[in-house]
Amino acid sequence: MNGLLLVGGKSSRMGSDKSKLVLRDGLSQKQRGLKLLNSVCNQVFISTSEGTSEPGTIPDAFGPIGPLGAIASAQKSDPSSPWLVLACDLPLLEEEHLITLIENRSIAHEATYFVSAGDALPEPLCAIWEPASAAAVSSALESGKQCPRSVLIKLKAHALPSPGRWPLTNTNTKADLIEIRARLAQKTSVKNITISYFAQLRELTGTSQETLKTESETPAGLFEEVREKYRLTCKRKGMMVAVNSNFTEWTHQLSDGEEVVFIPPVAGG
Amino acid sequence: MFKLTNEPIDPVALCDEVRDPSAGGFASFEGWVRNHHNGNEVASLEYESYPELAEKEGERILKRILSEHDIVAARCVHRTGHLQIGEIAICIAVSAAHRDAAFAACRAIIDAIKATVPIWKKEHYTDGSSDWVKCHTCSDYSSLHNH
Repeated sequence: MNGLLLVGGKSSRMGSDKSKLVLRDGLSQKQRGLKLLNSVCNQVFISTSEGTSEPGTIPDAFGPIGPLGAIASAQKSDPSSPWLVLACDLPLLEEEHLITLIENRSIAHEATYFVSAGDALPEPLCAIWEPASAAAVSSALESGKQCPRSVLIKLKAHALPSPGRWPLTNTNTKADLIEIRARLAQKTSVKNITISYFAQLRELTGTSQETLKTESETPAGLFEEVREKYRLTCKRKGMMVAVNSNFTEWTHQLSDGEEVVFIPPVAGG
Repeated sequence: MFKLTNEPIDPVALCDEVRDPSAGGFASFEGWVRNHHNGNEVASLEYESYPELAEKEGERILKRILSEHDIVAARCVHRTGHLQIGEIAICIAVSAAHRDAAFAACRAIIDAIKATVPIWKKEHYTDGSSDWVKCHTCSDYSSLHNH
C-alpha cells in the first residue's frame, strides 16, 4: 500500500498554510501526516505542485486543480498499487483509524472510505483508492470535474461507518481550529444552548426551537452538531449566525444559556 | 423607522410619515409579488422573518443611510406571511431636500435590506410545488460543489 499525503490545499479560509500548523506533539500537520502514513504504508509520497522533482514527492501532473488531480497523478506514477490518500489537516485522526481503514479494506471494490459524521457522505481524503478507480478518476478529470467526493460517490466503493465527528474534522477555518485546540487541550465545557430555526432550516429540522446540551466551543461547532443530528447537507459557507439576537462571528466563544440562530441566505424584498 | 407587519401595507400612510416642510423630493420603492421567477410560474409567496434581529438590522440600515445621505427622513415596512400576486411585500419611503439624495438613499436601502435582513421567502408555484429562494443548497447535493 502506498500513502499519499495531500499538503497543497489553498488554505484560503484559514489565511495561512495549514500544513505548517503545529497542533500536536511538536509536529507540523505535514510532519504528523507523514508519521501516520509511514506507520501503516510501505511507501509514502507527498503530493506537491507541478514542476518539483524531489524524492518522495509526486508533482501534480494535471495542474493546480486540487486533490483529484493529486490522486490521478499518484495513480499515474504507480498504477498497480492501491493508494491511501490522506489530507494533512486532520489533527484528531489517530493511527488506529488508518488501521481500521486498512483492515476493513475491500479489494473487490474500487475504493474503501469512511462515511462523514456530519452529512453521511463519503470522505475522499482519508480513503483507499484502488487501481480499479483510476479509469473513473481520469475520466472525471477529462470532463472537467475536480471534486473527489463526487467521483467517490459514483464508484463501486466500500463504505465504513463514521469514526465519529472529530477524527475527520479538518482545520479549514479559524472556528475549526478553536474546536480542535479545545479538544486537544481537553478544555471543553458542557453548555445549554437554545437554537431557533427559521425558514428552510425550520422545515428540515422539523422544529422551531430546541435546547441542546453541547460541548461545542463556537457556533460553527454547534452547526456541525446540528448538521449531524438532522443529516443536513448545507454548509455554513454563505450563512450568517446570530447569538442573543445579534449577528456574530462563527468563532464566537459560546457561553451557557446563549441563544443561537443559524441564518440561511436571506431573501427579503 | 423599520417595521415588520402581517397586515397589508399602506404606502400612502408611509409617505405621510416622511412628509416634512424642508423636503422638496420624495422617492419610494415598492416590492410586489410577481407571478414568475426563473421561468417558473409563481402562485404566491410566503415570507418568514427572524423578527428580533430583522427589526434591529432594518433599523440599523435606515440609521446608517440617514447619516450617509442628505435626506430628511426614511421609513421601511416589510410584510411577512402568505402574500398573493400583486401584493406589496416591502415599501420604502424617503424624503429629501433634493431628488438625487432621495433616489440614491431609496436604492441603497433596498439593496442593504436584501443583503442582510433575516427575512426569507418561499415560492409556491402553480404546479403545486414550492421552494425557498436562494436556499437550494440546504436540501440537495449541489452543496457538494461548494466545499
